Amino acid sequence: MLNKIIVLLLMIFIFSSSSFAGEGKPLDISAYKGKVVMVDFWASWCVPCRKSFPWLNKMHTTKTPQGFVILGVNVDENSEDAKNFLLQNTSNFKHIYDPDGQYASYYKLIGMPSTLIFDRQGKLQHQHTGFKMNKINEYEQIINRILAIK
Amino acid sequence: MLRLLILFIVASGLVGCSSLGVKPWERGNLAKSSMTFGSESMIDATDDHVYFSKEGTSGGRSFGAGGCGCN
Repeated sequence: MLNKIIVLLLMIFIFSSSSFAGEGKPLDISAYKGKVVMVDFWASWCVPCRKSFPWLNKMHTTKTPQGFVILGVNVDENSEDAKNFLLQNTSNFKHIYDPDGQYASYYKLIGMPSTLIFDRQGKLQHQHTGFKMNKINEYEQIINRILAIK
Repeated sequence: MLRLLILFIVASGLVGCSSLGVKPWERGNLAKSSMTFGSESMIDATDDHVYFSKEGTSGGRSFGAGGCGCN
Protein backbone atom coordinates (compact mmCIF):
# COMPACT_ATOMS: atom_id res chain seq x y z
CA MET A 1 0.00 0.00 0.00
CA LEU A 2 2.79 2.38 0.97
CA ASN A 3 4.59 1.55 -2.28
CA LYS A 4 1.49 2.46 -4.28
CA ILE A 5 1.18 5.78 -2.51
CA ILE A 6 4.86 6.52 -3.10
CA VAL A 7 4.53 5.65 -6.81
CA LEU A 8 1.39 7.80 -7.09
CA LEU A 9 3.06 10.77 -5.39
CA LEU A 10 6.13 10.31 -7.57
CA MET A 11 4.00 10.34 -10.71
CA ILE A 12 2.13 13.45 -9.58
CA PHE A 13 5.43 15.14 -8.86
CA ILE A 14 6.89 14.18 -12.25
CA PHE A 15 3.79 15.24 -14.16
CA SER A 16 3.34 18.51 -12.34
CA SER A 17 7.02 19.43 -12.53
CA SER A 18 7.10 18.62 -16.24
CA SER A 19 4.19 21.00 -16.78
CA PHE A 20 6.14 23.75 -15.08
CA ALA A 21 9.53 22.78 -16.48
CA GLY A 22 11.16 25.35 -18.69
CA GLU A 23 8.67 28.03 -17.73
CA GLY A 24 10.29 31.07 -19.18
CA LYS A 25 13.60 32.73 -18.66
CA PRO A 26 14.71 35.71 -16.57
CA LEU A 27 15.50 39.07 -18.09
CA ASP A 28 19.15 39.84 -18.60
CA ILE A 29 19.57 43.30 -17.11
CA SER A 30 23.30 42.98 -16.51
CA ALA A 31 23.88 45.77 -19.05
CA TYR A 32 22.17 48.15 -16.60
CA LYS A 33 24.24 47.28 -13.55
CA GLY A 34 24.39 50.21 -11.14
CA LYS A 35 21.05 51.54 -12.35
CA VAL A 36 17.51 51.08 -11.12
CA VAL A 37 15.62 49.26 -13.85
CA MET A 38 11.86 49.43 -14.14
CA VAL A 39 10.54 46.72 -16.44
CA ASP A 40 7.11 47.39 -17.91
CA PHE A 41 5.31 44.45 -19.46
CA TRP A 42 2.79 45.78 -21.97
CA ALA A 43 0.69 44.84 -24.97
CA SER A 44 -0.85 46.90 -27.75
CA TRP A 45 -4.35 45.57 -26.94
CA CYS A 46 -4.12 46.51 -23.26
CA VAL A 47 -5.89 49.80 -22.56
CA PRO A 48 -4.22 50.61 -19.20
CA CYS A 49 -0.82 49.95 -20.83
CA ARG A 50 -1.59 52.63 -23.41
CA LYS A 51 -2.63 55.04 -20.67
CA SER A 52 0.60 54.43 -18.78
CA PHE A 53 2.89 55.48 -21.62
CA PRO A 54 2.86 59.27 -21.04
CA TRP A 55 3.66 58.75 -17.36
CA LEU A 56 6.39 56.23 -18.17
CA ASN A 57 7.92 58.71 -20.62
CA LYS A 58 7.87 61.37 -17.93
CA MET A 59 9.49 59.10 -15.34
CA HIS A 60 12.15 58.02 -17.79
CA THR A 61 13.00 61.61 -18.70
CA THR A 62 13.00 63.08 -15.21
CA LYS A 63 14.74 60.26 -13.38
CA THR A 64 17.40 59.25 -15.93
CA PRO A 65 19.99 61.56 -14.26
CA GLN A 66 19.53 59.61 -11.01
CA GLY A 67 20.40 56.34 -12.72
CA PHE A 68 16.93 55.18 -13.65
CA VAL A 69 16.03 53.18 -16.74
CA ILE A 70 12.72 51.90 -18.07
CA LEU A 71 12.71 48.79 -20.21
CA GLY A 72 9.49 47.94 -22.03
CA VAL A 73 8.75 44.29 -22.65
CA ASN A 74 6.08 43.81 -25.26
CA VAL A 75 4.11 40.57 -25.10
CA ASP A 76 2.06 40.87 -28.30
CA GLU A 77 1.98 37.56 -30.11
CA ASN A 78 2.54 39.48 -33.30
CA SER A 79 5.34 41.99 -32.71
CA GLU A 80 4.17 43.98 -35.74
CA ASP A 81 1.14 45.08 -33.67
CA ALA A 82 3.54 46.50 -31.11
CA LYS A 83 5.62 48.28 -33.74
CA ASN A 84 2.49 49.88 -35.22
CA PHE A 85 1.41 50.87 -31.72
CA LEU A 86 4.79 52.51 -31.09
CA LEU A 87 4.47 54.49 -34.31
CA GLN A 88 1.28 56.05 -32.93
CA ASN A 89 2.30 56.26 -29.26
CA THR A 90 5.74 57.70 -28.75
CA SER A 91 7.96 56.28 -26.07
CA ASN A 92 11.43 57.43 -25.14
CA PHE A 93 12.58 54.19 -23.57
CA LYS A 94 13.83 50.93 -25.02
CA HIS A 95 11.59 47.99 -25.83
CA ILE A 96 12.24 44.31 -26.25
CA TYR A 97 9.80 41.77 -27.62
CA ASP A 98 8.55 38.67 -25.87
CA PRO A 99 5.99 37.12 -28.27
CA ASP A 100 6.25 33.68 -26.64
CA GLY A 101 5.79 35.05 -23.14
CA GLN A 102 9.12 33.62 -21.97
CA TYR A 103 9.89 36.51 -19.62
CA ALA A 104 6.23 36.93 -18.66
CA SER A 105 6.05 33.26 -17.64
CA TYR A 106 9.21 33.45 -15.59
CA TYR A 107 7.89 36.34 -13.50
CA LYS A 108 4.43 34.70 -13.23
CA LEU A 109 2.53 37.82 -14.25
CA ILE A 110 -1.10 37.93 -13.18
CA GLY A 111 -2.29 40.80 -15.37
CA MET A 112 -1.32 43.47 -17.84
CA PRO A 113 0.43 45.82 -17.50
CA SER A 114 2.88 44.45 -14.97
CA THR A 115 5.76 46.38 -13.51
CA LEU A 116 8.94 45.04 -11.96
CA ILE A 117 11.55 47.26 -10.36
CA PHE A 118 15.10 46.04 -9.88
CA ASP A 119 17.55 47.88 -7.64
CA ARG A 120 21.09 48.91 -8.59
CA GLN A 121 22.36 45.44 -7.71
CA GLY A 122 19.87 43.80 -10.06
CA LYS A 123 17.71 42.47 -7.23
CA LEU A 124 13.94 42.49 -7.74
CA GLN A 125 12.57 44.97 -5.18
CA HIS A 126 9.01 45.53 -6.27
CA GLN A 127 6.32 44.06 -8.50
CA HIS A 128 2.81 45.28 -9.17
CA THR A 129 0.04 44.75 -11.69
CA GLY A 130 -2.10 47.34 -13.41
CA PHE A 131 -1.80 51.06 -13.93
CA LYS A 132 -4.14 53.61 -12.38
CA MET A 133 -3.76 57.35 -12.75
CA ASN A 134 -4.83 57.92 -9.14
CA LYS A 135 -1.87 55.84 -7.99
CA ILE A 136 0.93 57.54 -9.90
CA ASN A 137 2.21 59.31 -6.78
CA GLU A 138 2.41 55.96 -5.03
CA TYR A 139 4.31 54.47 -7.99
CA GLU A 140 6.74 57.38 -7.96
CA GLN A 141 7.35 57.01 -4.24
CA ILE A 142 8.25 53.37 -4.78
CA ILE A 143 10.71 54.34 -7.52
CA ASN A 144 12.25 57.01 -5.27
CA ARG A 145 12.60 54.53 -2.42
CA ILE A 146 14.42 52.06 -4.64
CA LEU A 147 16.58 54.81 -6.16
CA ALA A 148 17.71 55.66 -2.63
CA ILE A 149 19.05 52.12 -2.12
CA LYS A 150 22.76 52.16 -2.92
CA MET B 1 1.08 -3.98 -14.56
CA LEU B 2 -2.64 -3.17 -14.60
CA ARG B 3 -2.34 -1.49 -11.22
CA LEU B 4 0.54 0.57 -12.48
CA LEU B 5 -1.55 1.59 -15.46
CA ILE B 6 -4.42 2.61 -13.19
CA LEU B 7 -2.01 4.62 -11.05
CA PHE B 8 -0.68 6.26 -14.18
CA ILE B 9 -4.18 7.23 -15.29
CA VAL B 10 -5.08 8.53 -11.84
CA ALA B 11 -1.88 10.57 -11.61
CA SER B 12 -2.29 12.05 -15.07
CA GLY B 13 -5.93 12.83 -14.27
CA LEU B 14 -4.94 14.64 -11.10
CA VAL B 15 -2.39 16.89 -12.78
CA GLY B 16 -3.94 17.06 -16.25
CA CYS B 17 -5.44 20.46 -15.61
CA SER B 18 -2.36 21.98 -14.01
CA SER B 19 -1.40 24.10 -17.00
CA LEU B 20 -4.71 25.02 -18.57
CA GLY B 21 -6.01 28.53 -19.05
CA VAL B 22 -5.12 31.63 -20.96
CA LYS B 23 -2.24 33.53 -19.43
CA PRO B 24 -2.62 37.30 -18.93
CA TRP B 25 -0.19 38.01 -21.77
CA GLU B 26 -2.09 35.73 -24.15
CA ARG B 27 -5.34 37.69 -24.09
CA GLY B 28 -4.66 39.63 -27.26
CA ASN B 29 -7.30 37.80 -29.29
CA LEU B 30 -9.81 37.85 -26.42
CA ALA B 31 -9.43 41.62 -26.21
CA LYS B 32 -10.56 42.13 -29.80
CA SER B 33 -13.95 43.79 -30.11
CA SER B 34 -15.11 40.89 -32.31
CA MET B 35 -14.78 38.62 -29.27
CA THR B 36 -17.58 40.31 -27.37
CA PHE B 37 -20.89 38.45 -27.16
CA GLY B 38 -22.89 41.12 -28.92
CA SER B 39 -22.53 41.96 -32.59
CA GLU B 40 -22.56 45.72 -32.24
CA SER B 41 -20.58 47.53 -29.58
CA MET B 42 -22.93 50.55 -29.52
CA ILE B 43 -25.96 48.32 -28.87
CA ASP B 44 -24.03 46.45 -26.17
CA ALA B 45 -23.10 49.72 -24.49
CA THR B 46 -26.72 50.90 -24.63
CA ASP B 47 -27.93 47.61 -23.19
CA ASP B 48 -25.37 47.88 -20.41
CA HIS B 49 -26.56 51.39 -19.66
CA VAL B 50 -30.20 50.25 -19.52
CA TYR B 51 -29.37 47.38 -17.19
CA PHE B 52 -27.25 49.65 -15.03
CA SER B 53 -29.98 52.31 -14.82
CA LYS B 54 -32.95 50.01 -14.32
CA GLU B 55 -31.48 47.15 -12.34
CA GLY B 56 -28.28 48.51 -10.85
CA THR B 57 -26.19 45.87 -12.59
CA SER B 58 -22.96 46.39 -14.47
CA GLY B 59 -20.11 44.36 -15.87
CA GLY B 60 -20.02 40.67 -16.55
CA ARG B 61 -20.20 40.96 -20.30
CA SER B 62 -16.62 40.09 -21.26
CA PHE B 63 -13.03 41.25 -21.05
CA GLY B 64 -13.25 42.87 -24.48
CA ALA B 65 -10.95 45.79 -25.17
CA GLY B 66 -8.60 45.47 -22.27
CA GLY B 67 -8.00 41.98 -21.05
CA CYS B 68 -6.01 43.45 -18.24
CA GLY B 69 -7.95 41.86 -15.44
CA CYS B 70 -6.85 44.64 -13.14
CA ASN B 71 -9.46 47.34 -13.65
